[in-house]
Amino acid sequence: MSKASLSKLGDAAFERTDKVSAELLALTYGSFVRQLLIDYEDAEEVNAQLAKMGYNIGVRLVDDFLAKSNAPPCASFADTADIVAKVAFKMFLGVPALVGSWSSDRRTFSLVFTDNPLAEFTELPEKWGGVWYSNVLCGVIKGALEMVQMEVDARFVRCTLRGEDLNEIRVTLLQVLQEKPPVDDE
Amino acid sequence: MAVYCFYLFDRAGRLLCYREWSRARRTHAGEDDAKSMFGLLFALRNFCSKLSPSPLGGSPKYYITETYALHHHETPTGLRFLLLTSPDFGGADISRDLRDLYADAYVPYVVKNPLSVRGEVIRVPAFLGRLDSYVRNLSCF
Repeated sequence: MSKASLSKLGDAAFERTDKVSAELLALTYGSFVRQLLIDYEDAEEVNAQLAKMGYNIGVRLVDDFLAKSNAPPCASFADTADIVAKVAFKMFLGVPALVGSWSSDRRTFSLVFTDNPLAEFTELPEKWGGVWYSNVLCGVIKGALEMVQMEVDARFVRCTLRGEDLNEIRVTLLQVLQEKPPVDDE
Repeated sequence: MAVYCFYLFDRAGRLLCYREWSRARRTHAGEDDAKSMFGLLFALRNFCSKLSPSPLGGSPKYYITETYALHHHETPTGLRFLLLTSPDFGGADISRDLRDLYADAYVPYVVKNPLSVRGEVIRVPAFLGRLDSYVRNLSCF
Protein backbone atom coordinates (compact mmCIF):
# COMPACT_ATOMS: atom_id res chain seq x y z
CA MET A 1 0.00 0.00 0.00
CA SER A 2 1.35 3.44 -0.90
CA LYS A 3 2.38 5.90 1.80
CA ALA A 4 -0.31 8.38 0.79
CA SER A 5 -3.10 5.87 1.22
CA LEU A 6 -1.63 4.78 4.56
CA SER A 7 -1.83 8.40 5.69
CA LYS A 8 -5.48 8.46 4.64
CA LEU A 9 -6.05 5.27 6.58
CA GLY A 10 -4.44 6.94 9.59
CA ASP A 11 -6.69 9.98 9.26
CA ALA A 12 -9.78 7.81 9.00
CA ALA A 13 -8.76 5.74 12.02
CA PHE A 14 -8.13 8.94 13.97
CA GLU A 15 -11.64 10.15 13.10
CA ARG A 16 -13.14 6.92 14.45
CA THR A 17 -11.19 6.89 17.71
CA ASP A 18 -12.62 8.23 20.96
CA LYS A 19 -10.91 11.51 21.81
CA VAL A 20 -9.82 13.06 25.07
CA SER A 21 -8.74 16.65 25.51
CA ALA A 22 -5.06 17.12 24.71
CA GLU A 23 -4.61 19.23 27.85
CA LEU A 24 -6.10 16.49 30.02
CA LEU A 25 -3.76 13.92 28.50
CA ALA A 26 -0.63 16.08 28.76
CA LEU A 27 -1.33 17.20 32.32
CA THR A 28 -2.31 13.75 33.58
CA TYR A 29 0.76 12.21 32.02
CA GLY A 30 2.91 15.00 33.42
CA SER A 31 1.70 14.56 36.97
CA PHE A 32 2.12 10.84 36.58
CA VAL A 33 5.76 11.13 35.54
CA ARG A 34 6.32 13.62 38.34
CA GLN A 35 4.99 11.14 40.87
CA LEU A 36 7.29 8.44 39.46
CA LEU A 37 10.24 10.79 39.88
CA ILE A 38 9.29 11.37 43.51
CA ASP A 39 8.77 7.66 44.15
CA TYR A 40 11.86 6.29 42.44
CA GLU A 41 14.29 9.22 42.62
CA ASP A 42 16.34 7.73 39.80
CA ALA A 43 16.15 8.63 36.12
CA GLU A 44 17.00 5.14 34.85
CA GLU A 45 14.44 3.52 37.11
CA VAL A 46 11.76 5.98 35.98
CA ASN A 47 12.58 5.24 32.33
CA ALA A 48 12.22 1.54 33.05
CA GLN A 49 8.89 1.99 34.83
CA LEU A 50 7.52 4.08 31.99
CA ALA A 51 8.60 1.46 29.46
CA LYS A 52 7.01 -1.31 31.52
CA MET A 53 3.78 0.64 31.80
CA GLY A 54 3.83 1.25 28.06
CA TYR A 55 4.39 -2.45 27.42
CA ASN A 56 1.25 -3.33 29.34
CA ILE A 57 -0.66 -0.71 27.38
CA GLY A 58 0.76 -1.94 24.08
CA VAL A 59 -0.25 -5.58 24.47
CA ARG A 60 -3.87 -4.47 24.77
CA LEU A 61 -3.82 -1.47 22.49
CA VAL A 62 -2.79 -3.58 19.51
CA ASP A 63 -6.17 -5.32 19.47
CA ASP A 64 -7.93 -1.97 19.47
CA PHE A 65 -5.67 -0.91 16.62
CA LEU A 66 -6.37 -4.03 14.56
CA ALA A 67 -10.10 -3.82 15.16
CA LYS A 68 -10.44 -0.16 14.17
CA SER A 69 -7.65 0.73 11.76
CA ASN A 70 -8.35 -1.59 8.78
CA ALA A 71 -4.60 -1.61 8.28
CA PRO A 72 -3.48 -4.04 5.57
CA PRO A 73 -1.34 -7.03 6.59
CA CYS A 74 2.41 -6.44 6.66
CA ALA A 75 4.65 -8.38 4.29
CA SER A 76 7.89 -6.99 5.67
CA PHE A 77 9.33 -5.12 8.61
CA ALA A 78 9.37 -2.01 6.39
CA ASP A 79 5.57 -2.28 6.04
CA THR A 80 5.30 -2.58 9.79
CA ALA A 81 7.38 0.57 10.23
CA ASP A 82 5.13 2.54 7.85
CA ILE A 83 1.95 1.33 9.53
CA VAL A 84 3.22 2.19 13.01
CA ALA A 85 4.28 5.64 11.83
CA LYS A 86 1.44 6.61 9.50
CA VAL A 87 -1.54 4.80 10.97
CA ALA A 88 -0.91 3.91 14.62
CA PHE A 89 0.79 7.16 15.64
CA LYS A 90 -1.91 9.17 13.92
CA MET A 91 -4.71 7.08 15.37
CA PHE A 92 -3.61 7.19 19.00
CA LEU A 93 -1.56 10.39 19.29
CA GLY A 94 -3.11 12.49 16.55
CA VAL A 95 0.29 13.12 14.94
CA PRO A 96 1.92 10.95 12.30
CA ALA A 97 5.60 10.10 12.49
CA LEU A 98 8.21 9.77 9.76
CA VAL A 99 10.20 6.61 9.13
CA GLY A 100 13.86 7.05 8.34
CA SER A 101 17.49 6.16 8.99
CA TRP A 102 17.18 2.49 8.08
CA SER A 103 20.20 0.43 9.07
CA SER A 104 21.96 -1.45 6.27
CA ASP A 105 20.53 -4.80 7.42
CA ARG A 106 16.99 -3.28 7.32
CA ARG A 107 16.31 -4.34 10.89
CA THR A 108 16.53 -0.95 12.57
CA PHE A 109 14.65 2.21 11.73
CA SER A 110 13.86 5.56 13.34
CA LEU A 111 10.47 7.04 14.07
CA VAL A 112 10.78 10.80 13.93
CA PHE A 113 8.14 13.29 15.03
CA THR A 114 8.22 16.92 16.10
CA ASP A 115 4.91 17.47 17.89
CA ASN A 116 4.63 15.34 20.98
CA PRO A 117 1.21 15.61 22.63
CA LEU A 118 2.56 14.03 25.83
CA ALA A 119 5.15 16.74 26.36
CA GLU A 120 3.15 19.77 25.31
CA PHE A 121 3.58 21.87 28.47
CA THR A 122 6.67 20.21 29.83
CA GLU A 123 10.10 21.44 30.75
CA LEU A 124 12.69 18.98 31.93
CA PRO A 125 14.75 20.37 34.85
CA GLU A 126 18.51 19.88 34.53
CA LYS A 127 18.53 17.57 37.51
CA TRP A 128 16.42 15.09 35.56
CA GLY A 129 18.42 15.29 32.34
CA GLY A 130 18.59 11.48 32.18
CA VAL A 131 14.83 11.00 31.98
CA TRP A 132 13.28 10.05 28.65
CA TYR A 133 10.04 11.79 29.43
CA SER A 134 7.90 10.03 26.81
CA ASN A 135 9.46 6.60 27.31
CA VAL A 136 5.99 5.12 27.66
CA LEU A 137 5.79 5.24 23.84
CA CYS A 138 8.74 2.85 23.52
CA GLY A 139 6.99 0.39 25.78
CA VAL A 140 3.78 0.64 23.79
CA ILE A 141 5.63 -0.10 20.53
CA LYS A 142 7.43 -3.05 22.09
CA GLY A 143 4.29 -4.52 23.64
CA ALA A 144 2.13 -4.06 20.57
CA LEU A 145 4.63 -5.56 18.12
CA GLU A 146 5.33 -8.47 20.42
CA MET A 147 1.67 -9.45 20.20
CA VAL A 148 2.02 -9.72 16.44
CA GLN A 149 5.11 -11.92 16.76
CA MET A 150 7.84 -9.32 16.42
CA GLU A 151 10.20 -8.92 19.30
CA VAL A 152 11.69 -5.44 19.08
CA ASP A 153 13.80 -3.09 21.08
CA ALA A 154 12.57 0.52 21.10
CA ARG A 155 14.40 3.42 22.69
CA PHE A 156 14.46 7.19 22.54
CA VAL A 157 17.61 8.71 21.09
CA ARG A 158 16.43 12.29 20.73
CA CYS A 159 13.83 14.27 22.61
CA THR A 160 12.72 17.87 22.18
CA LEU A 161 12.70 18.26 25.96
CA ARG A 162 16.46 17.78 25.90
CA GLY A 163 16.86 20.73 23.59
CA GLU A 164 16.94 18.78 20.33
CA ASP A 165 14.69 19.82 17.48
CA LEU A 166 13.09 16.39 16.97
CA ASN A 167 11.88 13.36 18.82
CA GLU A 168 13.43 10.15 17.57
CA ILE A 169 12.75 6.56 18.61
CA ARG A 170 15.06 3.81 17.32
CA VAL A 171 13.25 0.52 16.77
CA THR A 172 15.25 -2.67 16.22
CA LEU A 173 13.80 -6.01 15.21
CA LEU A 174 15.39 -8.63 17.45
CA GLN A 175 13.55 -11.68 16.16
CA VAL A 176 10.34 -12.81 14.58
CA LEU A 177 8.69 -15.12 17.11
CA GLN A 178 7.61 -18.54 15.90
CA GLU A 179 4.36 -20.18 16.91
CA LYS A 180 4.80 -23.25 19.02
CA PRO A 181 2.75 -26.31 18.13
CA PRO A 182 0.39 -27.43 20.88
CA VAL A 183 1.98 -29.78 23.41
CA ASP A 184 1.20 -33.41 22.97
CA ASP A 185 0.56 -34.80 26.42
CA GLU A 186 -0.93 -38.11 25.52
CA MET B 1 -30.15 -24.55 10.14
CA ALA B 2 -28.42 -24.37 13.44
CA VAL B 3 -25.42 -22.99 15.27
CA TYR B 4 -23.75 -25.61 17.42
CA CYS B 5 -21.00 -23.99 19.40
CA PHE B 6 -18.35 -21.30 19.68
CA TYR B 7 -14.70 -21.47 20.72
CA LEU B 8 -12.19 -18.70 21.35
CA PHE B 9 -8.53 -19.66 21.64
CA ASP B 10 -5.47 -17.51 22.22
CA ARG B 11 -2.15 -18.06 20.50
CA ALA B 12 -0.93 -20.47 23.13
CA GLY B 13 -4.00 -22.65 22.64
CA ARG B 14 -5.76 -21.69 25.85
CA LEU B 15 -9.51 -21.90 25.57
CA LEU B 16 -10.73 -18.43 26.57
CA CYS B 17 -14.38 -18.96 25.91
CA TYR B 18 -16.71 -21.79 24.98
CA ARG B 19 -20.43 -21.55 24.41
CA GLU B 20 -22.89 -23.97 22.91
CA TRP B 21 -26.38 -23.55 21.55
CA SER B 22 -27.73 -26.70 20.00
CA ARG B 23 -24.91 -29.19 20.03
CA ALA B 24 -26.54 -32.56 19.83
CA ARG B 25 -23.55 -34.81 20.18
CA ARG B 26 -20.15 -34.40 21.76
CA THR B 27 -17.19 -36.28 20.41
CA HIS B 28 -14.85 -35.81 23.34
CA ALA B 29 -15.38 -34.81 26.90
CA GLY B 30 -14.56 -31.29 28.08
CA GLU B 31 -10.94 -30.31 27.79
CA ASP B 32 -10.02 -32.97 25.26
CA ASP B 33 -12.56 -31.52 22.88
CA ALA B 34 -10.91 -28.09 23.04
CA LYS B 35 -7.45 -29.59 22.70
CA SER B 36 -8.23 -31.57 19.60
CA MET B 37 -10.01 -28.57 18.14
CA PHE B 38 -6.97 -26.37 18.62
CA GLY B 39 -4.64 -29.05 17.32
CA LEU B 40 -6.76 -29.50 14.21
CA LEU B 41 -6.78 -25.78 13.56
CA PHE B 42 -3.09 -25.37 14.13
CA ALA B 43 -2.31 -28.03 11.56
CA LEU B 44 -4.99 -26.89 9.13
CA ARG B 45 -3.92 -23.27 9.27
CA ASN B 46 -0.24 -24.07 8.81
CA PHE B 47 -1.00 -26.36 5.92
CA CYS B 48 -3.30 -23.81 4.26
CA SER B 49 -0.64 -21.09 4.61
CA LYS B 50 1.95 -23.36 3.01
CA LEU B 51 -0.28 -23.86 -0.02
CA SER B 52 -0.88 -20.13 -0.38
CA PRO B 53 0.69 -18.53 -3.46
CA SER B 54 1.26 -15.33 -1.47
CA PRO B 55 3.45 -15.04 1.62
CA LEU B 56 0.53 -13.26 3.30
CA GLY B 57 -2.56 -15.06 4.45
CA GLY B 58 -3.90 -18.38 3.36
CA SER B 59 -5.75 -18.73 6.65
CA PRO B 60 -8.90 -20.85 6.14
CA LYS B 61 -12.30 -19.18 6.46
CA TYR B 62 -14.38 -22.28 6.81
CA TYR B 63 -14.57 -25.92 5.89
CA ILE B 64 -17.64 -27.94 5.40
CA THR B 65 -18.61 -31.59 5.82
CA GLU B 66 -21.90 -33.47 5.36
CA THR B 67 -22.85 -32.87 8.95
CA TYR B 68 -21.36 -29.55 10.00
CA ALA B 69 -19.34 -26.50 8.95
CA LEU B 70 -16.51 -24.90 10.89
CA HIS B 71 -15.98 -21.15 10.52
CA HIS B 72 -12.69 -19.61 11.49
CA HIS B 73 -11.31 -16.13 12.00
CA GLU B 74 -7.78 -15.52 13.19
CA THR B 75 -6.51 -12.10 14.27
CA PRO B 76 -2.89 -11.02 13.79
CA THR B 77 -2.57 -11.22 17.57
CA GLY B 78 -3.20 -14.95 17.36
CA LEU B 79 -6.75 -15.08 18.68
CA ARG B 80 -8.89 -17.71 16.98
CA PHE B 81 -12.63 -17.35 16.78
CA LEU B 82 -14.45 -20.53 15.77
CA LEU B 83 -18.07 -21.28 15.13
CA LEU B 84 -19.55 -24.65 14.37
CA THR B 85 -22.77 -24.55 12.40
CA SER B 86 -24.88 -26.94 10.41
CA PRO B 87 -23.68 -27.37 6.79
CA ASP B 88 -26.72 -25.54 5.35
CA PHE B 89 -25.61 -22.11 6.66
CA GLY B 90 -26.36 -20.51 3.31
CA GLY B 91 -22.85 -19.79 2.08
CA ALA B 92 -22.58 -16.48 3.90
CA ASP B 93 -19.08 -15.48 4.99
CA ILE B 94 -19.44 -16.11 8.70
CA SER B 95 -15.74 -15.50 9.33
CA ARG B 96 -16.60 -11.84 8.69
CA ASP B 97 -19.21 -12.00 11.44
CA LEU B 98 -16.53 -13.47 13.67
CA ARG B 99 -14.29 -10.54 12.77
CA ASP B 100 -17.09 -8.14 13.74
CA LEU B 101 -17.48 -10.02 16.98
CA TYR B 102 -13.79 -9.40 17.65
CA ALA B 103 -14.04 -5.69 16.85
CA ASP B 104 -17.42 -4.97 18.47
CA ALA B 105 -17.43 -7.27 21.47
CA TYR B 106 -14.01 -8.69 22.28
CA VAL B 107 -12.05 -5.43 22.01
CA PRO B 108 -14.43 -3.14 23.94
CA TYR B 109 -15.56 -5.62 26.62
CA VAL B 110 -12.50 -7.79 27.16
CA VAL B 111 -9.40 -5.94 25.96
CA LYS B 112 -10.50 -2.61 27.40
CA ASN B 113 -11.72 -4.18 30.62
CA PRO B 114 -9.07 -3.65 33.29
CA LEU B 115 -10.45 -6.55 35.32
CA SER B 116 -9.97 -9.14 32.61
CA VAL B 117 -6.57 -10.78 32.66
CA ARG B 118 -4.89 -11.86 29.43
CA GLY B 119 -4.93 -15.60 28.87
CA GLU B 120 -7.66 -16.30 31.42
CA VAL B 121 -11.14 -17.64 30.76
CA ILE B 122 -13.48 -14.77 29.91
CA ARG B 123 -16.18 -14.24 32.52
CA VAL B 124 -17.27 -10.76 31.46
CA PRO B 125 -21.10 -10.83 31.28
CA ALA B 126 -21.18 -7.98 28.73
CA PHE B 127 -19.02 -9.96 26.31
CA LEU B 128 -20.92 -13.21 26.80
CA GLY B 129 -24.21 -11.38 26.32
CA ARG B 130 -23.02 -9.76 23.10
CA LEU B 131 -21.72 -13.07 21.84
CA ASP B 132 -25.06 -14.72 22.48
CA SER B 133 -27.05 -12.00 20.72
CA TYR B 134 -24.57 -11.97 17.82
CA VAL B 135 -25.00 -15.65 17.25
CA ARG B 136 -28.78 -15.55 17.63
CA ASN B 137 -28.91 -12.82 15.00
CA LEU B 138 -27.00 -14.83 12.42
CA SER B 139 -29.21 -15.76 9.50
CA CYS B 140 -28.27 -19.41 9.95
CA PHE B 141 -29.27 -19.61 13.62
